[in-house]
This record gives sequence, structure tokens and C-alpha cells, in this order.
Amino acid sequence: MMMPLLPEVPVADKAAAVDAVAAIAVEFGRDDLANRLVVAAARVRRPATIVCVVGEFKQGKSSLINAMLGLDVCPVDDDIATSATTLLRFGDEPSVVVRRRRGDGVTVERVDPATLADWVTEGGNPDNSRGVERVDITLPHPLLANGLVIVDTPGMGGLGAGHAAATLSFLPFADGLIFVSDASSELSAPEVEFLASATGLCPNVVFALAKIDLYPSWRRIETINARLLHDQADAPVVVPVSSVLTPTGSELPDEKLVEMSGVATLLARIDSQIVSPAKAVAAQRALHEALGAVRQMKSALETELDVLDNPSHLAEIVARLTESTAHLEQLRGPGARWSIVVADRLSDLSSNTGHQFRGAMRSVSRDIEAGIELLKTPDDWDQLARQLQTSVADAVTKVFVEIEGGAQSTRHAVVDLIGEDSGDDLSASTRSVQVELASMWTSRGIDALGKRGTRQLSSALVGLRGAQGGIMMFGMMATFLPAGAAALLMSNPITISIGAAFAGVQLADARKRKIAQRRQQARSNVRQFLDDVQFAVGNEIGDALRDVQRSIRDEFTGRISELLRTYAETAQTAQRAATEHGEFAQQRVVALGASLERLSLAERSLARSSAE
Amino acid sequence: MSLPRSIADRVSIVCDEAGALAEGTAFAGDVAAVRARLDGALRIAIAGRVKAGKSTLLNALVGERLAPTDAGECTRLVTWYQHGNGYDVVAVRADGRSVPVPFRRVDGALQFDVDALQLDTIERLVVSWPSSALRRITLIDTPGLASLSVDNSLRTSEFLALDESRPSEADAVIYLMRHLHRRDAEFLGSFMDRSVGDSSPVNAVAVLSRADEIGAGRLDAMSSSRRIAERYAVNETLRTLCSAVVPVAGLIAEAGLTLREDEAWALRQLAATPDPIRDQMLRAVDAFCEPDASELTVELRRHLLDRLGVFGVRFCVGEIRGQRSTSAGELAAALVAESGLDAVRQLIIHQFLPRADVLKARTALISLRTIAEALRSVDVIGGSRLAALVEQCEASTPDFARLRLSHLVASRTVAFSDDQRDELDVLMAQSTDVYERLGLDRDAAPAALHAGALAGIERWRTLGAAPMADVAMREACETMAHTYEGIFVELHEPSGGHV
Repeated sequence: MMMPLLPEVPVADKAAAVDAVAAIAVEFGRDDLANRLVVAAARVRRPATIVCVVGEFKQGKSSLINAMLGLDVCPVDDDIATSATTLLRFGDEPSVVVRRRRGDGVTVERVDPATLADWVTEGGNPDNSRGVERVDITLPHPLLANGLVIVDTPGMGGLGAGHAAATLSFLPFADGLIFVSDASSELSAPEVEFLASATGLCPNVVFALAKIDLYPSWRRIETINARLLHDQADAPVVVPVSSVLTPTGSELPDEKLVEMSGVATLLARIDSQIVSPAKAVAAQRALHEALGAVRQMKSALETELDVLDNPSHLAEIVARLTESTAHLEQLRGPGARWSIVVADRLSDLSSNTGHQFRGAMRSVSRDIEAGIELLKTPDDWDQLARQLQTSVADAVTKVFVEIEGGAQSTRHAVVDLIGEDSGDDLSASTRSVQVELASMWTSRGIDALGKRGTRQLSSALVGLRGAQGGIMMFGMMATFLPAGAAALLMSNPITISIGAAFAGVQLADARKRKIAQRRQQARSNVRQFLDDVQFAVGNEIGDALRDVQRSIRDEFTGRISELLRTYAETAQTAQRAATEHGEFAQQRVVALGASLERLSLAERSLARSSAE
Repeated sequence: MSLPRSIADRVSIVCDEAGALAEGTAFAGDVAAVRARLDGALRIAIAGRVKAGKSTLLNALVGERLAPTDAGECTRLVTWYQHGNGYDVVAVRADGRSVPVPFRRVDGALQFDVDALQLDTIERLVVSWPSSALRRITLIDTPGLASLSVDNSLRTSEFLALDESRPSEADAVIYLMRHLHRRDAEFLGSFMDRSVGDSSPVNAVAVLSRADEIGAGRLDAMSSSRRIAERYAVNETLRTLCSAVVPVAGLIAEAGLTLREDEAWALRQLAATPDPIRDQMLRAVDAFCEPDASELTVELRRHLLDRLGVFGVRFCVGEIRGQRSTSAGELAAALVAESGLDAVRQLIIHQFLPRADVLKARTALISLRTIAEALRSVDVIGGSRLAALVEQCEASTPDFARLRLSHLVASRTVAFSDDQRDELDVLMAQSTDVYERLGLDRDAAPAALHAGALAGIERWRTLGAAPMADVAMREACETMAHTYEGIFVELHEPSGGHV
């Protein structure tokens, strides 16, 4: 089987260095530190980088993803299109999990991979009638093993689909975007418009000019497209691709055709622009974590050595450790200041975002209802439907951006507080290492973004890439926004005037009445739609905030527990050391010296790696 | 005043009167234009989004490579293709003046030299060409909608403007769409109606274009696109907008109609290439044009691709290898048959042409009404007289009422049941056979005919008088009743003298 592989990454050595420290930690009986480092090293090898594949309807998005994977994963059909957002990421076992919004609730169920088409295509799931918000597919695939997460989106063609707004609102959360447009014709006006907005929101936009096997004049189209995008400040890189030339399944590869297919170029680009930088950032963070762990272990050994050399120091050391431990115990308890601060801040965040969102929805509702009265031409209706979609998308994005921002500032506040409360030990170790808010989605440094993106992103958007909330939001919006356009367009009175000249002048009055009826209906449709959005988003805000709170608590309690263990064990060994005499003490001093030597060596090598 | 029975003659008389009334005024030219349009060919506009294949389909319908086609957007002006005794291209400017346009043919396609003209002052290009295909119809090529050049989109919108007081420049519309999103079909309504202003299911059909490209140009592309077209055809929204949806591979049709012997030879050479090499070549356009892949020159291979597309080449090679067709003539016939062009021709013949007189007469009357309005400002009596004539002609011509009825029912503005729709179809059939129109057996007694007609009148009067019936429904019922009345009168006056 032909498997397009990414080139070897230099950060592998850094991951290995971190793994080495983890091994030392195991030897020293610090499995808690080891576990954290193993996770950090895994993230270096597999940083979750989200790449969104978007484009108008029937441009070959799913085919391209299949070609990238060299596997037939996404259902492809001449007629039937993808209707639900699909997310592909690495997993040891192939699995398909469907997340659905039914009525007022959300259900998540694991389904047979063979039934995928029933969930994600227009055939099995027309107009997404099954309410699929997102389908998560995991695959044990080498491409995904690098941490790439691919999002296959329903075609955003036409206003009806409404996915353009959903996609744009998601881009601040994505690392890269593959824009697919086929070589049958030059870019359409909506496509150019989308690209113009997208390149401002996402640092890595690649334009895949698809189906070059089918169109003799694809080079002309490429030139014309380049001219159309000429005015844009940051025109995307164009990669001509042909999905059919990359064999999938058991087919034998033909080198020449594979080269012609351009898929390898696309993958190389994704690797160099998205995956490798993410790995570099993850590596930097992992090295910091490893350094922190080495220092903790070193300080324990140095204390023991100190007591062996000068048993008289014991009392002082034990006193200091007891004091620190008492501090930490207090910090770990439910009455700790930071814990109260977390609760307070998040409850503030919750009421603020809720309030803002309700306000935003109210003003959207007012604007749209006023707009409905003023509509005259069919273009006005389109305009209004678009306005409805973008203002809802904007409002929702704002809420999630705010939640992510609030979570970050809460973390920083906690670090500061703990620093005040506990002396510098803990705050130094936590400050040097940015810890994630949740699961794999936030596996990367937030601070290093500026280095990766070539362009200055608005500060409000920094720190969102990879955030869990984004994926959540995307699925939800992709489900909701089409309904928004439908709410308006389905009651578009303009359809009444089709063939008006045919129907004759006599019917003009009847038509006017009907138009008034339609306006009324449009108003109530929009109200209903906004009501639904408010309910669903309200629930998501609640869930997201609970997640944030839990992860911040877990993170800091974990760190405190690690330090407590360090102190407790240090106190123990120090007491034991004070009782050691003679030859045994001599041996112990030598052993400690060797261990410290090892740790110093590891420390130096980490520092060197980190500086590179 | 006794009116002639034929609708064309009736409107023609009004036109004559209008000519006399407008003589010496500024509107004489307008009336002459109405007259010309009434006497001229049926105007069919080909509309659709940018790069939908409008020019290619036009060429296929003419059977000649006339309209320039290109990978990029290339139709920048509304262009009329009409029958002429000689070859001639003129640009009609907004002020009505015509300027001759130099042109040349490159590889068959016309290249207009419009550089010397100010594009924004030109309303349209008119190409006169001696072609039998253009005798009864004039085809109008339009710049694509949603085109990136705003001007082009505007030109088309203006051309097809929705304006109740002004008739559209076209009598009928072929709307080209590429493969749409399922949901987009629902929204096509608002899109189509703004692009093809004065349209109705009675004068509009939709074509699923570039059908050969669906399914990556595989050999089963056409059957795949037929399935898609069938799905669209039953879509409720689409049914209120156009009467049919058919798939067409314009490029394949165009190539078939103009295939040359040297091209057929090259295709035979390809078919004779050893299997593995040929299979490799047919995978992709770049592989096909690889210099060492074949003895045929790269230029020739490129030419084949431009003419036939990947699907066309694959199809021809398949035909030759299956020994179904080998000569240029046989290949050409096979290509045309595969292209689905015949379905579009049939729609024109059976759907548009039988209605041509009514459609043209209707446009003429709408124009004359506008002229009457304008005339009133300089000649109150003359203007009012013309308005009255138009009114009278419209009211006394049952064809208009029937056309309107067809529109109301087909566009679902009035909700007829399936049975009622069937009844309408039978009743409005072009047939002059009363038995057939009343849905009676040929051996039915004359009394049954009377009874049938009377029952029809009674039935539709009652329906029309129902309290829940809205204006449109009342009008529809009235027209149905009137039609039965017409039959009843005919039964009593077999001579057919209608007052």
C-alpha cells in the first residue's frame, strides 16, 4: 500500500531527551513526574494540529482527504455530498463516534464504521435530518500519528448551506486550512470573498486546485485564479492536485502519476507549515517540563547529601519542609484562596458571557426583524440571510473566544496567587510550564503562536488554536446556520412574484397580501431560530465552563500533589540520612553524587536542546 | 368587429393600428420593433452561472462552433445569434444605433474585435448567420451570473430584468445549472427567478450542464448525471420554476456535430495503442500530453482534449475498441447521442415552439401597453385608443387566459389536485378533437358531449364560487369554465365561427 509519509522530524531527539528524563524519574520512584513527562513527549510526537478542508460543494474535498490518507475513508459519490462535519484523528483502533443534537439534548454514540455514509452524506442523512453535529473518526494511520487532525466539511456552496460563516467562525481555532476548488472554472465571487476573509483569520491557507486530471486547461485556470487573488495581501499558496492519481487501498502506485497528483506536495507543505512548527513548540514546552522535573529530583538528592555531610542541618531542613508542606496542604484544601478565585472568576465569566450572548441575540433579532420590513429585492433577502448567519456566528465565536480568554487569565491569576501563598517553589515550576486546559486539543503552547504565524493576528484570537471549544462550536454552527438561512429564505416572498408578468396584473393585490404574510412568517421563523440557538449555545457555555473549571483544578491540584510528595520524600530521606554512619554513609554519598551527576548531565542536555 | 381566429393575426392587427397611431411620433420606432419581434423568430435565452457551459450548448444547438468558448470566462456581452442571409456582426449601442463589428474565425469560433468599441455603451452584439437551426429560433448567449466582473453580471441581470411592465427580451429561457447542492435546489427558486426574470414553467427548462464532468469523467458519467437530473426534476421548488430538467454534455455534443476525419483518425490511433500505455494516458490530462507517451504530436493530443474533454476521448476510444463506431460519421453520431443534446432539442420543439405564437403575442401586447402609456403623454386620444385596443385584444383572446392558467397551475400558484391537473392537460391539448378534450370515448352520443361540456362549466363555476377560493383560484376556475363554454359553443356552431 502506498502511504504518503511525512519526512523525519528533527524534534524527535528532543522527545527522546524528555523520555530519558521520564525513565530516570521511574528509576527514582517518581512515577507521577514520569507520567507527566511521557504525556509531554507524546505531544511532541503528536501535537494536535487541526487542518480544515473547505470548499464549495462537489469540489472533491472528501476525495482529497482519501488521497492524502491513501485510504477510502470519507464516502465519495457523484451525486451525494457530505452533509456533516467529520473529524479524522489518530487512534489505536479505527472507530466512528457520532455526536447528535436531538431536540434539546446531545447524544454521543459509537457506530459501526461501515455505516459511516448513513451519517455523513446527503444520501443517508439528507439535509442533516439526523441532526449530526459532528462525526469523530479515529484511525491508526501514520499521517495522523504525526498529530494531524483533519476536518472534512460539508460544501459551503450557496447560501443555503451556510457553512461559509460556520467555517470562518471556526478558523481562529484551526491551525490550517486547505481550500479546495476544482480546475473546471475560475474562482467564483463568493469563493474569492471567502478566501479574503480566511487568510486574515488563519495563518496557513493552502489552495488545492483539484481535479487537474480532468481539465486540460488547469494551468490557465491557475493563472486566472492567481490574477483574481492578486489584490489580496496574503494570497494563499496554490497546490494543483488530482485525487484520482493517488492510489487508495491495494492499488499499485505509479511513481510518475503519484508525482503528478500533487498530494505529496500538499502533505509536505502541511508538514513544514503546520505540523513541524507545532512539534517544535510542543518540544520546547516538554523540555521545560522535563527541566522542572529534573530540578525537583535534584533538590531532593541535594538535601539528602547536605544532611549526610552536615547532620546538624537536619532540624532546619525538616522545619522548612514541614512549613512548606503545611502551606501546600492548605493550598490543596477546598478553602484555598486560589480555589475560591477559580470558582468566583468562572462564575463571573459564566454570567458575563451569558449576559452578553443574550444581549447579542436580542440585537440580532431586532436588526433582522427591522430588516425584514425593508426588504425589496431578492438580493436584499440574500443579504439579510447572510447578515443573520454572520451575526449569529460572530456572537457565538465571541462567547467562545471569551471563555478561552477567561480560562487563560484565570490560570495566570492562580499562578500568581499560589506564588504569593507558597513562596517561589511552585510558582516557578508552574510558570515555566504552560499546562493545558483540556485533553489533546490544547496540547500546544499558546505563547509561541507569534513565531508560527507569519502575520500578526488580532490579540483577541491568539491562544485559541486547538481549543476544544472551537470544535464544539464548529459542529454546532454547521448545524445551525443553514437553518438560519432557511428560516429567512424559505419565506422569501420573491418566489411569489416569479412569472408575475405571466400571472397578470389582476393578481397584484393578492400577491401583496401574500407578501405581507410571508414577511410575518419570516419574522416568526427567525425568532424561533434564534431561540433554538440561544438554548443550545447556553448549554454549551455551561458545559465549556465546567470543563475549564475542572481542568484548572485538576492541573493545580496535580502540581501541588507532586510537590507534596517531593517534600515528604525529601523529609524522609533526610531523616534517614541523619542516622546513617560510617561506610554506609560513604557509599550513599558516592551513589548520590553519581545520581546528581546524571541529573546534571540530563539538565545540561535539556538546556542545550532547549536553546537550539 | 369580427376578429380573426389566429392569435398572431389578432395581435398583428393591433400592431398595425398602433403603427398608424404612433406615426410621426417618437414612438414609431418602438412600434416597428414590436412588429419585428412579433414577426421574427422565437427568442430563447441561455442563462446560468459563470462557466456553466452556455456558449458550448449554444454551439451545439446551432451545430457549428460559433460562440467563443474558453477555459476562462469569455462571454462578456449579451450576444444574439440569429438567422441571416449573409455573415454579419453588429454591436447595438444603448442609444439604439448599430455599429458593424469586425470578426474573424479562429478554429471555427468567432472572435469579435470589440477593442475599438466602448464596451459599456454596447447593449448587445447581434450575429447574423446563415444556419437552418436558427430559422425558427434566435439564440441569446448571456454573460454568466455571479461573474467576478460585476459589469458582466449586471449586463445579464439587466437583460433578463424582472419588471412587470416591461417584457423580457427573451421569450423562453434555457437555464443551465451545474451540479448543485441538494439544499441549493431549494434555493434555486430565488436565484433562478432573479436571473431569468420573466419566466415560468411554461417557458423555462433547466439543463444540468457539463454532465460529462460529473463523476470525474468516468464512462458512466452520463447515466450518473441522468439520475441526478431526475432527482432535480421531482424537486417541488424546481417544478414550480421549470418544466423539465435534462442533463447535457455540451462539449460532447459540440464535438460530435463538428468532428473531423483527422480527429477520428487520431482517436483510432489512440485506440490502437497498447493497453497499459493507453490506460496510463487516459488517467489524467497531463499523462495524456506526456511527450513520449504516444506517436501523436503533443499539439494534436492537446487539441483532442480541448475538443472532447477527458470523457469524450475515453468514450471515443471505448467506442472504437468495442467496434461500435469507427468512422468520423459513426463517432460523431455516437457522441451526439451520448451528449443528451436531443433532449434539449425535443424540449424546444415540443415545449417552446408550439407556444411560440402565444409567447411572442404576449410580449408584443405588453410592449404595446407600455407604448400606449407613453403615447398618452403626447396624444391623449391616440394613447387611450391604443390602450383600449390592447385591453380588448387581451380580454378577447382565450389563448392568453389559457397561458396564464398553465402558468398558475404549473407554478403551483393555484393548487390543483392531480386529477384536476390531468383534466387541464387534456382540455388544453393542442387537439381539436372534442371527444378527446372532454375525455370521452369516440362512440359517445352527441348528447354526452353536451352533457360533458355543461358538467365542466357547472363544476368549475361551483369551485370558483367557493368562499375559500382566492383571486388566483377564482381566475383559474373561470378560465376552465370559459374553455368548456367554448367547447359548448363549438358543438352548436360546427362552422367554428367565434365572435
